Amino acid sequence: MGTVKVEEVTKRFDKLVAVNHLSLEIPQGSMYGLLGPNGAGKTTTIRMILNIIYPDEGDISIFGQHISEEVKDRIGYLPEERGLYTKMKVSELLLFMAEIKGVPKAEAKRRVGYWLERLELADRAERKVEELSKGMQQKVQFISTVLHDPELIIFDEPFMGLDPINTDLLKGIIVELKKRGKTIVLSTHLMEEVERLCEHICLINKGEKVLDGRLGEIKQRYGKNTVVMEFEGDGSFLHHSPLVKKVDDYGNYIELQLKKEDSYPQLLELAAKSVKLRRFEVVEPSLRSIFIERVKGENG
Amino acid sequence: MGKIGKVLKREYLIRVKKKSFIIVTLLTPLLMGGLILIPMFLTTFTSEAQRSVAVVDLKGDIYPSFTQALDITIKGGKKKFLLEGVAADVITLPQVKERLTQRVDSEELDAYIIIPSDVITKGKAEYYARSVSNITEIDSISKALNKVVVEKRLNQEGLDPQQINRLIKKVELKTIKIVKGEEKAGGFVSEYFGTMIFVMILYMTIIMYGQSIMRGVIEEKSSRIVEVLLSSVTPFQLMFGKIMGIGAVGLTQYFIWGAMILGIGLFGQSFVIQMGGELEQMELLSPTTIVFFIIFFVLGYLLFATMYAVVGAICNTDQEAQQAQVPVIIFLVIPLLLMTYIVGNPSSGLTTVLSLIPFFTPMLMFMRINLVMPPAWQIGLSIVLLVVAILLMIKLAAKIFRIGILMYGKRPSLAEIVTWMKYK
Repeated sequence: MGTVKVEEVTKRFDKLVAVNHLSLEIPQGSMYGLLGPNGAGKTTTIRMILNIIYPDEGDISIFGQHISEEVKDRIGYLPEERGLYTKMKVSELLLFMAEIKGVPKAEAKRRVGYWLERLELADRAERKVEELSKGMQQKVQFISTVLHDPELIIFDEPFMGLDPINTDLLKGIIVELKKRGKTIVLSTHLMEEVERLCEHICLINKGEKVLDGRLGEIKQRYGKNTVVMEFEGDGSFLHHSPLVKKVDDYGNYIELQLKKEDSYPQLLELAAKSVKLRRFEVVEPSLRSIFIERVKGENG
Repeated sequence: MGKIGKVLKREYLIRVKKKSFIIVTLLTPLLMGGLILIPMFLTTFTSEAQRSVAVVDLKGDIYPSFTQALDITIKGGKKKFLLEGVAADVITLPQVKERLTQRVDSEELDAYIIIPSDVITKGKAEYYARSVSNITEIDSISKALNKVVVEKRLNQEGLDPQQINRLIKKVELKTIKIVKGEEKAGGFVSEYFGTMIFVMILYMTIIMYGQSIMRGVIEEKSSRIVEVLLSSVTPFQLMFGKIMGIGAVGLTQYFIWGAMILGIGLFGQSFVIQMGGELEQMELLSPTTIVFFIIFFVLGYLLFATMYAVVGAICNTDQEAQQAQVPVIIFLVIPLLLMTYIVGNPSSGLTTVLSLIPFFTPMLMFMRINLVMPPAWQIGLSIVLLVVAILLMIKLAAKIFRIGILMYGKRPSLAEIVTWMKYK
């Protein structure tokens, strides 16, 4: 059963159609990647799920019911645009955030203590938010998202601006939350993270759904027509080859798509003749190339 | 406690705990009290001192009558003015003056007076002193000299000064206000200023707390916390909790001020009585005034606070808001401009109509109640209209607030705001 069910939802801002007849279902207990280029309508969709703005058409249900105060208290939201009351003390702010989610004061206090300890912020509890570094503020914001032990958590670009150590710290917590049965929505541009973390994805572009389903199935659908190569020498032959559909040069290696799935032996033969080959691997397409292909295909 | 309550609590505590709140709340009444008490204290003190004044009577027969006329005493029955007659004529006058000037300079004398020989016809005399700004002292000297000179003139014409005085006695008009059939003392000045002080407090606090809401909304907007908040509370809960929380701060401040003013007032009264002063009945703080003041503060605050919340929601910076709040301020200023008219015509048809317009009701109806109690139905109607206006305003504001608070960038035009109101 879907934790979140979005059915035929449309949202217009004056003449701009931000979201157009969008339907999606976020399975319970899943890690769900919501992807799309800038301005695709991701944030608008999330805001509608949270009832911050209302859809013009369509229907949204969460936990099988329409949104209410009680439902809101079971959701955690980390918006892309971060915001905290900068003049408040960290512990006071977090207590307030927990209380407006309906956590009783004593329990809220206990949890604030736990999370500050866990995210290595215990010594900053009595500091004002504005005295914290940007990264620390991010962590405070993260705590405010999970403080009320929500069943559904929506993270919009959760790792933005964090160093690798803190990124791993938060990623670990997100994975742990998922293991505890929480439903997690991850909206991000970091395709590698989505590829590693998410089992379901939904790609939207220009307010419409382009791709939707289990990540593994999607990749299979795209077939084994992707080859990753590393070599020394002049790779220009690839651009002229009739076998090749598309070349993505990443500097250290090249990812290319074949026109026909079973034509890789011919390519290998060609490459062996032209350059000094170090690596030749037939792989599933990366999420990144699927993303680019679908979005460019639509917009181009 | 619902979510509005949680928002209210935060808004309230964060303001009440601020140092600036504590300082302003405690210092304002002390400052105001000080402004009233210190001059009182000072005048009592200065009038205690005796003044030594030399009198040069060139005419010769003024001085004896003058000493009789200037018979003011101070506490303890001592004479206020210690007079000293100095003999001189036209020839010795320059030397005498020089000597007296030196004595004034060395503070042996406080002042000296020169009465010329033609004082009866010309009516002029001179007063020399280190300070010529002590109006009450100079006034008593002037009055005494005037009395002596006028009596002399009357005598010259063969008239009896006492008879003349009886004949030209002025009529004094005492003003007595009738409130519900009872007589109450009080004049234009106490009436006008009493009302004005309250209306000004009403005006200033509504603006002050209104702007506090506006800045709070802008802070939430510019710090982008608003989106996090809206995932927990509805825009209405956020707006209303904020308005109530800041309103509670206002009432707290009033309560503290009220208590302090009462304290200072009681102290001031006992001080005046101790000093032997007379106490005029002050009708400034009648229970009716206080009750209506609180009613109209609460209602006026709700109306304007809601408007200020909207201003905050449609602006991105404090500077932008300074401009956008002008229409709101105009509604607040109009009653102040109408004040002189209302004081002059507290019961006219125009006054009645104006005081029933919800935007003006808080100040104008309150003003009228202080001046001439309007009919109960008018007060009732004005309050009903005001409450209806508040409910409509809150409904409208909630819609604009909900959209405006998530809008960044250009400030919306009036036309855009009207479209927002139509969104479902």
